[in-house]
Amino acid sequence: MSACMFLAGCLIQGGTDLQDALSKVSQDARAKVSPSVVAILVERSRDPEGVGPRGGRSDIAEFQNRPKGPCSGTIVSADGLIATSAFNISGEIKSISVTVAGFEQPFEAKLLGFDKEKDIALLKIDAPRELPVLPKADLAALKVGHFAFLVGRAPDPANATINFGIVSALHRFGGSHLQYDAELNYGNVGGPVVDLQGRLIGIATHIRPKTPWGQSGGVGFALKMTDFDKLLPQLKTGGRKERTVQRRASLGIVMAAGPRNMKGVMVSDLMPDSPAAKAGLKVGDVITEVESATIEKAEDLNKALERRKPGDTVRVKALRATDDGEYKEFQATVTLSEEEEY
Amino acid sequence: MTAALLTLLVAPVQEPDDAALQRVLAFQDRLQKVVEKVRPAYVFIGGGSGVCISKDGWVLTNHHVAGPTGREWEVRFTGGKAYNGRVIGHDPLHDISLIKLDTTDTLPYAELGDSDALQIGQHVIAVGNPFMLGTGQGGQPTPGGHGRTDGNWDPTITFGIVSALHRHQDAYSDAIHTDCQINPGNSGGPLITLEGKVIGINGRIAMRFHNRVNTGIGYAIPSNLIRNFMDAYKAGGRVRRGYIDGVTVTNCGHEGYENSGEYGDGVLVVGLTEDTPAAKAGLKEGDIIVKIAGHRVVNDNRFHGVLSTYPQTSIVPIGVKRKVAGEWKEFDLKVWLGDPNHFKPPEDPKRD
Repeated sequence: MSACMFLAGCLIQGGTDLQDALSKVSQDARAKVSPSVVAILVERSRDPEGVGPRGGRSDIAEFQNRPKGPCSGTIVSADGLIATSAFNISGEIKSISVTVAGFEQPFEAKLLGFDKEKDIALLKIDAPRELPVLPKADLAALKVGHFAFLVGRAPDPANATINFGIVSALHRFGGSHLQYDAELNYGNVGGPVVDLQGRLIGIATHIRPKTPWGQSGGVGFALKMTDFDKLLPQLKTGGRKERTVQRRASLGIVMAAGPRNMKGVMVSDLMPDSPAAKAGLKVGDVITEVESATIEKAEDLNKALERRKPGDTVRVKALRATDDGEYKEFQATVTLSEEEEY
Repeated sequence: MTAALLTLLVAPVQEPDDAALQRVLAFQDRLQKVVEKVRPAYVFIGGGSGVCISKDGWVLTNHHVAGPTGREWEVRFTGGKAYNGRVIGHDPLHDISLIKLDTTDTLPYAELGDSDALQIGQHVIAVGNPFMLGTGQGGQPTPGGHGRTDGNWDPTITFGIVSALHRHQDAYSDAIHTDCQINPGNSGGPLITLEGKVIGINGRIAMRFHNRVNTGIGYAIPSNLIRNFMDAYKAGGRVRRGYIDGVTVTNCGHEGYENSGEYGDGVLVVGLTEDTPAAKAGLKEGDIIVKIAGHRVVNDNRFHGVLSTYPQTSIVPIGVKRKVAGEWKEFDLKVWLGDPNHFKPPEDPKRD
């Protein structure tokens, strides 16, 4: 009896080593989720949203452009509703075809509706039989630090890709989205984000060439299914919500509050092809003046820029820390670029 | 005994598939509890991050986030509670600033761990504010701002492993290399073990094409380095990194020297100045330094790297191999680190 128990214990032990267990759980999740992931191939006549800064033509920007080939979608109803990222269907569309596991021919898809603020779109295909829909995860029980898989397309949707990560934060973009560290790319955006048991948490969204977090940087987002369900009626009935894009003159920086005993706005980060960077500003510099307007906080800088147009040249005064811990004032002339809000 | 037997009897009933899932769910639960425990100790500082390491408000961050001694910051904990803080000590090369918060509150904190106990492959988490997603722009309204959120002071947690130890990357002389996703805004934030201990302060990433996004390579300043300098930080001002004055070394396996061993054995002493700390420690030309304070020295990069994790005026043991009458002998010496023009070295470091 005791030998028998020992043997059984060993089997369980051997099969439950963490790495083996995780590998098994990943394979199970992929097997469960793959049939509900579709490959979406979009043909376009124009694709202004799919290109990186400066038209995607700078030395560094090629990988920021939308690549050719299919992207991902998630089956959300047995009668052929498919959710995907609105980014995936942006541009002037000629056709959308959807490949579903188990069907030899791709389906022509109809774009029902989209919401570009939430980065979600709804497609419809007419399949001759019921399509597999994933069970939903209990979002109320989901916590930061829980594991999440992002499952994406492959040219053969039966062989979907799977990326592993954790839930990084639960409240992004006003709370409609969560954040995870599984690698999000132009191929798997639109695919399902699922828990360990393959239950649907959300749809992978909010990737664009001009986002500072970019691709595969470990900062991915998903529209929560609870929020997707709220949007579903308007998406189904043809709702088309554009992003309220504000185009404004920009220094191309991310601002942060500076030290309390200093006035000014700190350059926390520089955007790709940042005009400020070209003018010699660096991360950590503190901007104190724009064209004789004193800058004490972010609002002041926003106000100073509101009065300018892209292409205008402004004189910027800033402070830079020296090696001995002091700050030295310098001036730079910045040619403002155009910036979109997102 | 009865309880143990019962567990054994119950466990085999589960399906093998379920066992794998249960194992991962248990690990997920452990990870989530660590996140829950350490997340409150995270702080937002300007455009970067920090971590509170004591209940009375000592906060670690990067020098490139908080700047030099004397600078004052509004520091906010996860959830948004704000305190005023002041940089008490700084180290621009190791990229550490120590802040003291001005409060009598008992604060959430995470303890410093032992970075020498880290294993390559060990799971770790990073807490940070990449792209300021958790704050908006310093909590300011952000028309046209990047990373627009609600300013709800909600940090980002990322998960990964220790990829390598003792990396010498520019001035980061003993960095922990991790694949935890860290990005601009993570700077100054903690790298944490699954025991909930802070074992590093994240500060650098490897970038491609100047694209400021993680590529799977991040570097953290190890907790033991920070601990070595803690008294110096708390004493205020700038700190000085250790080195052995009066010795010139080269990599082992050097063609130009006899008995120089194989590359990787250590470093070969090829020059020694009389009446310096190196000479007083008992080093001789031709010695091979194989260890410093218990750390194996593989090459000159690591030699300088490990020495600079100690402040000047420290006395550290070094392991030396010397050829005596045709035989290699291995022994320990004690050496004083520092600049003798700036600090007074002891006459005999062995007695200290």
